Amino acid sequence: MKARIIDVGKYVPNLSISNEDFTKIMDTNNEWIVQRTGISSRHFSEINTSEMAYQAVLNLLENTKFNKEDIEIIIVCTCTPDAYSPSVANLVKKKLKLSKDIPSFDINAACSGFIYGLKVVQGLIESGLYQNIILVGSENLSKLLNFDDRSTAVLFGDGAGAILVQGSNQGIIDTLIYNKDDINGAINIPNGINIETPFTNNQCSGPAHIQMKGQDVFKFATKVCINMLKEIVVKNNLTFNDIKCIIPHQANLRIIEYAIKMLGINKDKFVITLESLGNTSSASIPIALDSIKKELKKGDKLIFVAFGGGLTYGVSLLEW
Amino acid sequence: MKEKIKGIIKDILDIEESDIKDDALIVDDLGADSIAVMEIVMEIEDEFDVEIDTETIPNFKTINDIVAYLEK
Ligand SMILES: CC(C)(COP(=O)(O)OP(=O)(O)OC[C@H]1O[C@@H](n2cnc3c(N)ncnc32)[C@H](O)[C@@H]1OP(=O)(O)O)[C@@H](O)C(=O)NCCC(=O)NCCS
Repeated sequence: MKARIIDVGKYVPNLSISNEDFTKIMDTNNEWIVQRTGISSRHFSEINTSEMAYQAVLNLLENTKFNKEDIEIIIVCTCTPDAYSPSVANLVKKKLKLSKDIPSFDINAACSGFIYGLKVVQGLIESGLYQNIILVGSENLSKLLNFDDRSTAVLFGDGAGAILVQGSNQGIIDTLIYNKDDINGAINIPNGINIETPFTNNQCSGPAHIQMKGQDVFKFATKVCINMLKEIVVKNNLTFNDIKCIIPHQANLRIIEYAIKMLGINKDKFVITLESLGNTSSASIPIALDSIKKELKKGDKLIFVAFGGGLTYGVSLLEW
Repeated sequence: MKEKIKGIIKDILDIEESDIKDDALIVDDLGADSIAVMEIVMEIEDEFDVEIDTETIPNFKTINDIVAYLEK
């Protein structure tokens, strides 16, 4: 039994913020951002992560005509939950108003979340435990941006993507996930979590914001992206000619272009959506998948590759 | 070593090798942006099998600076 992606849905907030808009609140310019990142605009959400996830699931259900009552488990990948508890997945389940109690939980592997989610889904289906799973990547990153830090504020956007995965005779072929220690603190969302009781030495911190050492992240991201793509094709006795398309995590066009150059793969194979969406973390791959699903035919081989805070990274090879 | 570094810079910046003087400023004279500098460093790491700390990158203003660093 394999885990097959049946269909995909997405939610992208209406509010689009251009690079030009950023020039009104900080010392930056369109040329700098486009040249260094490929990003021209991104969407910011006025609704929280769980509502975006729910909207993506509604879009998915509409696309598939799948009966929500047949969902057996809901998993949400996110590093920007609404609350410590309940989980975003719990909230999505509540919004769906299902008649049964089914399990739901979140996975946090930052921008690699969706690949980690696929690995879990693959295991749940291949083991025969579940047949109908909803996997969502949903992120409201704008709530964690530091608008005094121009090198991170311009990179991220909000959005959600959802897939329905079912047991089938074809589907996910192989998924690899890893975690390398982030020794230098290259990418973090620290703070906002205080240890504060009447009995302890209190450790209080400032507001939660994305912090990044851009060059360290760039280096890590390009290296693992290149190595993961090589590893998964070699391990499965394939070449890049066998692959219809590659969906990389949409962090920065320069990361993707560097990988393309080093691997010598045709750029047309790579799906790129970051120009108008920015980096939507664990939502970036399902949203990008949604953008090309009409071009996919049964049996096409795809690769998803992602990297992010943690430092997490992973890659998935599958048959559509 | 210098020739290999020039070759890397030429490829990444897509410029003529003859324009790459030893003391040319990689950013101001050769037109590299901060990410192209990162790319040059990453290829040098691969070529010479070294690990270059990102904190030292701002010191690489010219090819001579890179050579001096690698020779240390
Ligand atoms: C963030 C990133 C674009 C910055 O590029 P960089 O080449 O590393 O840039 P630096 O931080 O070295 O900054 C270079 C200069 O540009 C300036 N700068 C930074 N952000 C700027 C902005 N938005 N507008 C204008 N100038 C900016 C810096 O202040 C610095 O100026 P200085 O030299 O006068 O001090 C790049 O490092 C990157 O994309 N890294 C990967 C990030 C990523 O993808 N993270 C998510 C992974 S999941």
